[in-house]
Amino acid sequence: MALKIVKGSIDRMFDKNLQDLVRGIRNHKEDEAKYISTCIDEIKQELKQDNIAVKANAVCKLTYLQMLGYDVSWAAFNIVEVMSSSKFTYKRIGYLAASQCFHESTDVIMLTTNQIRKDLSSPNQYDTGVALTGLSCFVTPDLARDLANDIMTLMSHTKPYIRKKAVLIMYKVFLKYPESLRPAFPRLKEKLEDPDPGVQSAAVNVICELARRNPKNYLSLAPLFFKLMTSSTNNWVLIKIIKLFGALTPLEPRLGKKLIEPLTNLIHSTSAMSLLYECVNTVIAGQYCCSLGSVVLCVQKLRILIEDSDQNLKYLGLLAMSKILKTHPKSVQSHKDLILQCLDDKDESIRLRALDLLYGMVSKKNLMEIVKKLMLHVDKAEGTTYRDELLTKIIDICCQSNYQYITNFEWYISILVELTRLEGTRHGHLIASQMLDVAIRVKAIRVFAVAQMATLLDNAHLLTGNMQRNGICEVLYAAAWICGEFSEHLENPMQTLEAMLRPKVATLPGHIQAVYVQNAAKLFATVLKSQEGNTDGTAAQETSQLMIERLPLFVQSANLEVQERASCILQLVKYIQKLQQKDVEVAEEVSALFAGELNPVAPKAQKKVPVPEGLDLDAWINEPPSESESEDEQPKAIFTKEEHKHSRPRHTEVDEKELAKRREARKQEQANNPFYIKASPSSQKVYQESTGVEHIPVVQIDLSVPLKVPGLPMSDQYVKLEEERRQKQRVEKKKKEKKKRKEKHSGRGKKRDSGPESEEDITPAHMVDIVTEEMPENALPIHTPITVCDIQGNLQDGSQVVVSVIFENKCDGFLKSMEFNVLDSLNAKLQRPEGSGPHDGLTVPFQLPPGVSNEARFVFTVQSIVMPQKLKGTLTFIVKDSSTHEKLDFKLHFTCTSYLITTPCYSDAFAKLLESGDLKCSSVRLEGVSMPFHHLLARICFHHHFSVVERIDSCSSMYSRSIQGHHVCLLVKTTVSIDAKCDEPTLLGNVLDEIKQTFSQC
Amino acid sequence: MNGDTSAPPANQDAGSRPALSRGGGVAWPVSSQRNTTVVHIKVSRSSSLVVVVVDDDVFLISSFQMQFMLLFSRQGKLRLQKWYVPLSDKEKKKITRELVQTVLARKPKMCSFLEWRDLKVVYKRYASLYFCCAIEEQDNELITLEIIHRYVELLDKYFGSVCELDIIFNFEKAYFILDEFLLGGEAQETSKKNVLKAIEQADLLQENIDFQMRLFAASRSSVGVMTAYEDLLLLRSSTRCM
Repeated sequence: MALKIVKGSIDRMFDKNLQDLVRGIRNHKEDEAKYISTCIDEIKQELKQDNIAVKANAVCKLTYLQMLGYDVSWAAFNIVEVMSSSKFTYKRIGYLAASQCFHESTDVIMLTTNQIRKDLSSPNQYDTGVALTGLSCFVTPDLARDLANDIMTLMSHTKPYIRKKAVLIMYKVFLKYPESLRPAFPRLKEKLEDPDPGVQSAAVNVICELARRNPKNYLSLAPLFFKLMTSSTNNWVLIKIIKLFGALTPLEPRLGKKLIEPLTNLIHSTSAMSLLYECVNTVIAGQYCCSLGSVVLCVQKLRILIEDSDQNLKYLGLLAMSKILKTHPKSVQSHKDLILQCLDDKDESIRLRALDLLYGMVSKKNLMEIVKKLMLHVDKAEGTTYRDELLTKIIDICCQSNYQYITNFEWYISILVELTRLEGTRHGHLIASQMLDVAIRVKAIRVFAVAQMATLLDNAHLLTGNMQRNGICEVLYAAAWICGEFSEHLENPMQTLEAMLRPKVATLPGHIQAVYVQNAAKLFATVLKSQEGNTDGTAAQETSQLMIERLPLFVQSANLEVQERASCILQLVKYIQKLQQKDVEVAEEVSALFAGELNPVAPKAQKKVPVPEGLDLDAWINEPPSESESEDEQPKAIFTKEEHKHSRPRHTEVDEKELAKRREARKQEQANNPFYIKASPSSQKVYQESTGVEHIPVVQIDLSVPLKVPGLPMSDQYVKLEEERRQKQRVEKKKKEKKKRKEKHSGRGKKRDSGPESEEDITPAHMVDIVTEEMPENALPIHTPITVCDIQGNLQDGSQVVVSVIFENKCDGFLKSMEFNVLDSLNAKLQRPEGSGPHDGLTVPFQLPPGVSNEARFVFTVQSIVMPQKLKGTLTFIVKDSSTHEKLDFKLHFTCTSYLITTPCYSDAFAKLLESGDLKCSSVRLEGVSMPFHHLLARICFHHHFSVVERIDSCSSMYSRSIQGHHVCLLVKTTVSIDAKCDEPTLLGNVLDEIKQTFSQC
Repeated sequence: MNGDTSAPPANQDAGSRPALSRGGGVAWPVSSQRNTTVVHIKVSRSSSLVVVVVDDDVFLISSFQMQFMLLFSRQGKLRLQKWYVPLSDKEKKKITRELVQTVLARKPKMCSFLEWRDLKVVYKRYASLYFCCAIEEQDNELITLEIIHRYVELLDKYFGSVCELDIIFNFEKAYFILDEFLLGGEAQETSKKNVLKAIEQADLLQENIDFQMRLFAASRSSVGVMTAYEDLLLLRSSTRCM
């Protein structure tokens, strides 16, 4: 009887193999948990059996259950049992279970060491293979230490199947037991040249991974990998090697030059997108300095990726493009059209990538256009998350680097107002802070802003329509404050005051109500002033009455802030009313309450507060944090040991020199940023109230479009206006330039070296007001008070170029403390006295009374003279009696001609030179020149530093030499064509261009 | 820290290192000169990185490029998981749940990559199954897609036009194939032929587990002794064939 029961249960038990279990689970969808718990009970029974087949079956089922998320750690010992079976069938299952279920804290792992060692040395390669595979998943530091030697031996196994596994697993062993790296490395290196490609690629993988973590130690392998890279055809291996070189190049810049050629070859030739993408990424990240060409190539290839119909390639293309944007913005900007197209993509992640790119692509010229496109997308966008993302991006794009790209702030305000019409956005506060920022800092815009905000307040019901889920009512906070603070600009303050005291306001959030109340008081003051000015006593009294009627609503508010402000103001108004009834003029006194302008405070204003005596800010307030804490705070130290070492002393010992250097660098940076708010007591130059405001027509009310808030402007009109404005400017500028040139030729006329150009190609209609603190009363009537008049390149031998600059003071102030500074390029550097930093300016050694001009000379070092170049520079100076630091930006244009020296040459030497064959040939035709031939020659001699060698009838040969000894020979014919020869083709091309330009101007 | 320890590992100086015995089971003695520091770094709320610093060799404890691979169905049921980074079960479950949700929520036309925590996730859908891999920041997404595709091809070859059910019922086979293809998160064999050959040969070694169990069960019961004996004969002949 008992036997029967046993037999029955055994039978049932053994019926359930893995397939049965899976089927069972699928059939018990409703009570899966219950079914599985009975299964687990059965498995527990099975594990108690002696038969290894039953155990293995049970372990196999457990592995499946583990995947479904059930805890099977209790069976760890049984897994070890199955692993140690002598039969491959069970061993395989055991190792699989172990690799899925074991982790570092599983304690039975200790028991497996010897078993694994036995399996590793098994004659059957599949036993070894299975053990290696399993080990790769659950190797612990202990196992790694104990088995490192065995695995290393396997790296030289006869079978490539084992060798490649052993090589790969070595990486895991190195990670767990780093001591093993040194002894194993030589053998690993050998495997780079293993006859089996699989083993070779495994070795490449391991070394590449190691090198990525710590590239310094693997530089010596670069030649070997270079050989592999040029010989291998396996894309997987190539990708790894390229990645490795990507990690090595920062440490050894010479590698970059060497790599650029094979990399570009690969980019050109490969058909595998993954390899192409890797190459492009490496070139981008590698900062290969000398390779603008390769960047252009990368951008071209990326364009192809982005244009591809495959979403994946599109995404990656945009991703890589944004990396290029950081280093070479110019080369990406030309693909603006493509990026804008991507905004229409179905895939949101692609659209977001494109948005990121746009952020870096805006300039003064295209800002309005890009934002207009984005606004269209805002209207179309589905789903609030993407729309919110668009909104933040629009604002980010506009306000980046202190509104650098905005030329018309009325346009920007209209954009912000348009954005308030978005329903359900979370970013109301963002819009609000922008409105406040612009209104406070751009004085010229206040009139316009106030008008807009008043309309917003009037139509507040539109914004607050569905109060539940909108953050957009935050905008009203800004609107109320702006209307109150700058109430003198309001056209109809009474109407706005009424709008602010509507009962509906009480439904707004507390902090907004508080601002409403406070600013209602400001408005009240303004209204009183205007009404008393009209000598109409009753109107003023009515206004007070209105306040007294409406304010109690706020006094009852649950919000403390609102309540407090409201009751204060209510009492004040009641008192005012009393005085009014006695016919006392109160307006002056009331407005005195809010007198004075609120100015934005520079972030560094704190510096002006003197440090109280006896306070040492550098001293520790309490004990310095202990070592253990500081370790946690230094996650950077992971990557390089050196940093770790240095970081500690840095805490205590402040390097004075370093600090001074950094401060200098920072100052320099700030000086170069025209929008930087300076902390110095001197206020900056005041920008002229721009004329842009006047010629913008009165806002048209577009009533035909019902969705729009009436009276709010459409930003679109500004785009048009802006175009017109620019057109005008361009025309004006051209006129001016023409005049200038004429003057030059007739006047000084010494040399055609182009003078400074204005820094901005587009003059903004409004500027951000960067005046922060006290404005001096005697602010200058500014028109550029000084011009850099003429630049003459004088030459000495070697690579030095002397530039003489004539400073002319055109304003009525006395100029002093002039400092001349140029942003060095790689090629040309301003020579500065020893000891000064690379960004220091040079003091101009004189002062300038009004109307006087003087000349100063500056020496530049130029390395390559074959190309013309432009250097940007700034001149800072102080106008006497104002203590204001003014700044003037200019450009220095080094033409190739200025590198030429008039050198006489005899005709026989000249003929020899031409015969030598070292010279490259080029020719140019001058169109529309109608001057006598000798005039033409004189001109070339004079402007371009040539000397006539010989003149025969209708042609003349000319010669000149560059400061670096290039010969330039010309043959000028009366048919006004020039044949030229030079040993440096680039130089020749540029000189010819310049000659052509000279003659196209006359 | 002397000069010798900062030399690259390539310059092995045998003098200061203990000689290694070939194939011996002796553990390497830890050199007393070396300073080993283990630093735990919090990477995100749930996971931390362990960094081991030995002299100037700095190691990030991590896998090769792939961190883990997940296979799940359109209904979000996990079909296969392989972790190449040591994580606790709890973390694995959390990551799986989050990732499955994120991937399933994506629209079919969207690209195969997403940034998730500090990793990049590459996924691709084949019929009703999603294959999903996590790789590190600087890794190549396209090669990961290729790895996924290669694995699908291998499954297809092995099962003969694979379907989800094949993977469900033979999940251990799916694991075996994956283990032959990837080791520690790195592709160990780029040739499909070689992978399949290795699997087939290993399978030949594997005996029929069902058959063994039936044999055992039969030996316990009085009724089935004869059949078991016949089975045994069969088994012997089959092993001899191999």
